[in-house]
Amino acid sequence: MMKNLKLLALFITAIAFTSCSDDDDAPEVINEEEVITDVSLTFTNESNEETTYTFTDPQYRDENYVDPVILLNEGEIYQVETNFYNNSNPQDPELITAEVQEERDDHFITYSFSEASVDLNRTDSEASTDSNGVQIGLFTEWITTATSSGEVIVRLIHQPESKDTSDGYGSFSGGETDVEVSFDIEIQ
Amino acid sequence: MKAISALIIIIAFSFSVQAQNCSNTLTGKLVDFHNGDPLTDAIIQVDGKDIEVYSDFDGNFKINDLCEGKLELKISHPECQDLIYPVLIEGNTSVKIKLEHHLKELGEVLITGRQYIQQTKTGQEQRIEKETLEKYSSATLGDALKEISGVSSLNTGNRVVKPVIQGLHSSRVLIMNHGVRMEDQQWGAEHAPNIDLNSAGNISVVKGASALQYGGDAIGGTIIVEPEKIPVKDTLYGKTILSGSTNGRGGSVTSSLVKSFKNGWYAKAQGTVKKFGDFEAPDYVLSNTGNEEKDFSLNLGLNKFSSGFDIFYSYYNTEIGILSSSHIGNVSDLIRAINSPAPSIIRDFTYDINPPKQEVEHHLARFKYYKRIENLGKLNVQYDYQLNNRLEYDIRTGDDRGKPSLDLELQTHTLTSNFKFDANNEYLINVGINSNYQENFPNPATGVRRLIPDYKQYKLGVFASGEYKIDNHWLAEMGFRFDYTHLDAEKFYLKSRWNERNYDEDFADIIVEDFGTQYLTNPVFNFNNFSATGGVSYTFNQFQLNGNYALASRAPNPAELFADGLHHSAAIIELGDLRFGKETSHKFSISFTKNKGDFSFNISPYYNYINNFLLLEPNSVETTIRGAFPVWEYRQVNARLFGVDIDWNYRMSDKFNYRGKFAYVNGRDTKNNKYLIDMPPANLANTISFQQKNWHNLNLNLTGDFVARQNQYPDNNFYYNVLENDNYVNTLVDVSTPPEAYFLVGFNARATFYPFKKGSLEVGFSANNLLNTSYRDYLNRLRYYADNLGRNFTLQLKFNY
Repeated sequence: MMKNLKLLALFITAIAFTSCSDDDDAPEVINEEEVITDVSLTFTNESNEETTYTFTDPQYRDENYVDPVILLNEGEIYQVETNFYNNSNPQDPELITAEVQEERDDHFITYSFSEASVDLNRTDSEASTDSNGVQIGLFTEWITTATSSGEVIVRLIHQPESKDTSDGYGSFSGGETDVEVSFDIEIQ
Repeated sequence: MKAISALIIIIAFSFSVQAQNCSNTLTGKLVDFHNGDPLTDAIIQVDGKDIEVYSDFDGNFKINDLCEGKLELKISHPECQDLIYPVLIEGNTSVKIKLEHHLKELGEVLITGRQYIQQTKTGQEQRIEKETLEKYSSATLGDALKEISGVSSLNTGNRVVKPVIQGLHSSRVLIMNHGVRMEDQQWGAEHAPNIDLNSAGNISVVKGASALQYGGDAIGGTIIVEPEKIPVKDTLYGKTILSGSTNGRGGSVTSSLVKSFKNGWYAKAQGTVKKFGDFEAPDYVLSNTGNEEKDFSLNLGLNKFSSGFDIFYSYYNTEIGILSSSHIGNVSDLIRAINSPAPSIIRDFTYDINPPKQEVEHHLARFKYYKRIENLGKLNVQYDYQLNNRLEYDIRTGDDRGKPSLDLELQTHTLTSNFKFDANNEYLINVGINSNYQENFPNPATGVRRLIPDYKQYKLGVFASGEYKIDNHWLAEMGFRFDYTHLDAEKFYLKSRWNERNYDEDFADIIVEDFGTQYLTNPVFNFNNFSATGGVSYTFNQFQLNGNYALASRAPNPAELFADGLHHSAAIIELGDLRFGKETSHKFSISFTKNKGDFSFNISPYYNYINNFLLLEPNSVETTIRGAFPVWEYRQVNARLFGVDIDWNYRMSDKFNYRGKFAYVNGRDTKNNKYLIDMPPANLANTISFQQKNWHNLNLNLTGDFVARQNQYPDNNFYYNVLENDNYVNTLVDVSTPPEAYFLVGFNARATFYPFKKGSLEVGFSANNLLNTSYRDYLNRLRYYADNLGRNFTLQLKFNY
């Protein structure tokens, strides 16, 4: 019955237009280019030791993924580099940071701490400072002031109406959030 | 050679006879083409002679003293089209002449107060005439439709206006444009109908699924946009309407030209251009809300008594800016927007349209043929083709700047045929078949995962409907329809989503290929939908009472089946489900009308029970790398809607008139026992008009529109932790609370002048939101971000020539 109906529908439509089955090829896969799947913070301590913590979008996590916990020592200064990646196509991982840097007038990164005692300074060079002289926040210096445990929220804002770096952490108005992730921090 | 000389002899002979004998009598009988009934009181004139006779009670007539030879009779009947009928007189001659008596289909003379074909004789139907449509020349179709009680609109700003009929919209409202069922991605809440209302001569709205001929899935209703009737005579006419508005600092020009001939040929060309910059709320500019629209249509055909054809092509192109401040990232951005009294982005006025924006193009081509068969009825055959291309632009960066985020191309071919048996005076039967092929192509060049997948869809529908005139008071109507739908899609799913929806258990067999993080799948669906309608109409004195039941069923649309991602303009994640079945509605409606006398009214209550009603509602919050988003999931529940639409009119004198309308709808999800989202609040409109024919046909209208606050809404609010001054604050995200009630005052004046030798000039002036009231509307999707429009003055000039 079903099959007959389909055939009949096919037949009737085919009478009027014979050239509509142009392609039966499978549609091509889209690996989104603008998607940010990973955010990493790379800490370099005073003894020049490097540690990287990476947050991965829940849609792109594999079974081995564990939520990152940033371990820091009290009273130390860390040089921190923030990076954004698009790993949606595992064959072709992509570093998005360069694009953010290139379009530095349109981007801004902020760091908000909850119950973790960290003082923060922006150390961006000219390459990540926008045309108004605002350091967009790809490079920062973290000074741990007391033993504590809490969280840091890293935000990447696209086209904010205003950027404010008067306190290092950064604040803004307007714009659209491209990234908003939270890392746990333990300061010992 | 022999034949020619014979012919010459015959002609010569006939001339000589004509000269000799002028005492012949012509007797004739006039009958209805359809059923053979005699036509009484027709005027029969002999062309070129001063002879005029009338047909008697049996349709007979007699003309004496005619010479032999050819002559032409002109036959006029008040309910028929004039007919020129050639007769050869050879001695006493007798003829039987058939006249087209069903003038309501030719549409020039009024029969029983109605000039048009009703789509339903027992359901709820209302109509907007050309004069009203012209007032909305520079606005949208959705704005004009709100003239009808019970029709409201779901807006995205003020240029994306989607009609809502008695609380239902999108895939539940079917739009027929010049006889073609619109396929313009109507599933989307922010996709307005792609129709230039200037191409319409009138618009009928059938509330509910009683107009089965067009489809069995019109759970909300059917909107029928029809062209103006072109008269069968030698004429050339046209009109041009110029409109200019202060709000948006723009306007429109629309023009049409019609040429028609006595022999039935006609041609029409029509075009419209609209251009607006940023619109303004009372206190600020609504940045990036400009609009540019370019449309035209061409029509050519032959309208003969017994057969004819019609070719129609229309092109619609629009570019609509979407309020800049409504483009947000995640819940944190949404909270900032809701809690801010003014939009976050207010720039100076500009005509520029930047992302976010929509660019939509719609082509429609139609070929129609009809043939009347004597003593039987009329056959219609129609083929139509539609191409819809929708581009949506988001704010994008890098190499993708200027690239659309959504690029859908939808092609639809339809072949329709129906036969109307109208030979009998008591019965009218209409049967038809409808086949349809549709192909959707989401362009992968966007670089954004497809919102709607590639699909091919086949549809086959058959219907039969009939009406029976029992006596002068009673009329009964009944109809059945069956639709078969076959949908074959190719869809990519992120593996994480695939598993989260538990598709790995139920649909493992439809996976075609594994692409690392994604699966390519091949979902195939078959739907069988049955729909029916039945009703009676009782006419007594000045009143008419209609009762109707309509059973409608609708297959889920592509968004409801396949949606699986972030919806930017709403900052929500939308999830469909492959497991959905069809939606079935049972609607009972009554319509009580008094349409004669100084006081007229219409009261139309209804009750609509919808089984497996598909609705989109929030149920959780999902964390992504861009922050948290509310997840809105399509679900199937049971719903019931009831309400009433009331219209009334009181002619106080020959100069003053008062009219009003009121609509109320109450929608409830009976499964979860809560109200339905996005139900139009109760609304009341009152208009006082003054008309003075002697003063250039001056017409003044003062209107007050009251829209109540919607108190019956589902509470979908939720809490979200926002980091403020080093502490998390549990913050309410109020996405549910409807805005306050509002009252708007409007004024409009028009007068007609005759400054030219031929034709006329009509000058119109109108003011909307005269008191510059700041307000927000519950059914505007951008209500979180900005106020609705402030005061607007429009000047309109209409030239008839």
